[in-house]
Amino acid sequence: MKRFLTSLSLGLALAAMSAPALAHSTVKGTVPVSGSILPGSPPEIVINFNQEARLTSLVVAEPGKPERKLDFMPGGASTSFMAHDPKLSIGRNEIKWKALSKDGHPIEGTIIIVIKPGATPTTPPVQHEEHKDH
Amino acid sequence: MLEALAAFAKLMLYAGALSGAGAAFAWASLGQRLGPVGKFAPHIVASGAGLTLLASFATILILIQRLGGEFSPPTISAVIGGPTGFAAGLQLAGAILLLAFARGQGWAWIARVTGGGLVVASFAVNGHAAAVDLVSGIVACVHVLATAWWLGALLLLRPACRQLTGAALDQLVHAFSRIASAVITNLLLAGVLLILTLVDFSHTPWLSPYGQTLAIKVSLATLVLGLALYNKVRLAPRLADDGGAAAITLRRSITAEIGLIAAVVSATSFLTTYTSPHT
Ligand code: HEM
Ligand SMILES: [Cu+2]
Repeated sequence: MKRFLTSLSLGLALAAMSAPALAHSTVKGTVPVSGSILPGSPPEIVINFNQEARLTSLVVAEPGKPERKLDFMPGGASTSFMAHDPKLSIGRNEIKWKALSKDGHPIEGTIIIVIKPGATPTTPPVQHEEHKDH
Repeated sequence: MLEALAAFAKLMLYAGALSGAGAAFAWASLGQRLGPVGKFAPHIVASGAGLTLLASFATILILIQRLGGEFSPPTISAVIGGPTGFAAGLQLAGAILLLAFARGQGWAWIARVTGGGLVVASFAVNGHAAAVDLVSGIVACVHVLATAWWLGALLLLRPACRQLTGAALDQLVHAFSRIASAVITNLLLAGVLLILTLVDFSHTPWLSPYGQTLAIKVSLATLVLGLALYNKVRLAPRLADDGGAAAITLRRSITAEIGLIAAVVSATSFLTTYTSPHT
């Protein structure tokens, strides 16, 4: 018993030499970037994670309308999710997402996209998604 | 609110898994030396397994709530189809085995150890360490395995201080001590490895909520280890000569040890629910 446990310790110590990497999924970026001002609804919304995550919900809050769910792809774990033709309304659109990170924590964030007909597309220089981890 | 519930469910999961699986392991390794105290073991195994079942279910339901509260296909598949669901599956299977064979004689101990093994293995597939790679997941699993054996053994040793006397108690405590030294070495080693794997030392980690919670946990753990060492070095040797009085002191000390372990485990459930090593 004791000898078994001792070799377990040694095995562990050896195994650990081959470690480390970081273990937490966060958003790497979105297209369009949060804070963008666009002349019309973008063809798609893309959310990229730094690590595999599982997107569980994507809803858009538009001015004066009830929240609307957006369909997205793929289902399951991925580093990139896409909602095709989100049909954003004129004004300020808040796109809220929720996901399960690789380490099993819920994560969430919001992408703000303003649609202003006739505007020249502007994207903020610095990405400032308001995303929050657990 | 939901986060607090999640932390509480996690604490219950730890409590159930560590005591249920741990009692199965400790019972198997201490065996006959437990004598009449063996009759407490099925009860601890069964209640730990029952708590594991409940907490595992609750954890899944709370997680679904935290992901938006809808039983939509993406939510269900994310929760059930990923590591979280795999871990819950191992916990359920393990807990059912533990419950089914909690009382069995003879070869039933194999089913109990397997059940406890499945429960403990769930910590290798889900969590901060598991998300790094399989080896780190296994290190976390070893950490939990050692913790489980330790707690399970203490839960049996406590009644033994009253039920056994003289040479019988002395022998049991010695058998415990011998295994405990190796088990606790592994617990510590795995804990240090987890820190080295999870904590990013290039970003003043002790200033982060994770670093601070971890520091509290490790301080509490140091207290338990100190008390354990005291029991081993000072109290255990006295059992042979001045039986009765030493047994009462040992029992009190074991009660304190179990209480401190509960505090460490509470700090851990806060650590793994509210904070993350990488924010
Ligand atoms: C009485 C002593 C201890 C007990 C009862 C205990 C218990 C636990 C438990 C139950 C877990 C949860 C594993 C999971 O959910 O995946 C854990 C994780 C961990 N423990 Fe311990 N532990 C103890 C001592 C230590 C010590 C001494 C250290 C450091 C030297 C340590 C460092 C860690 C770390 C870094 C984690 C990973 C947390 C995470 O996933 O973010 N533990 N411990
Ligand atoms: Cu995390």
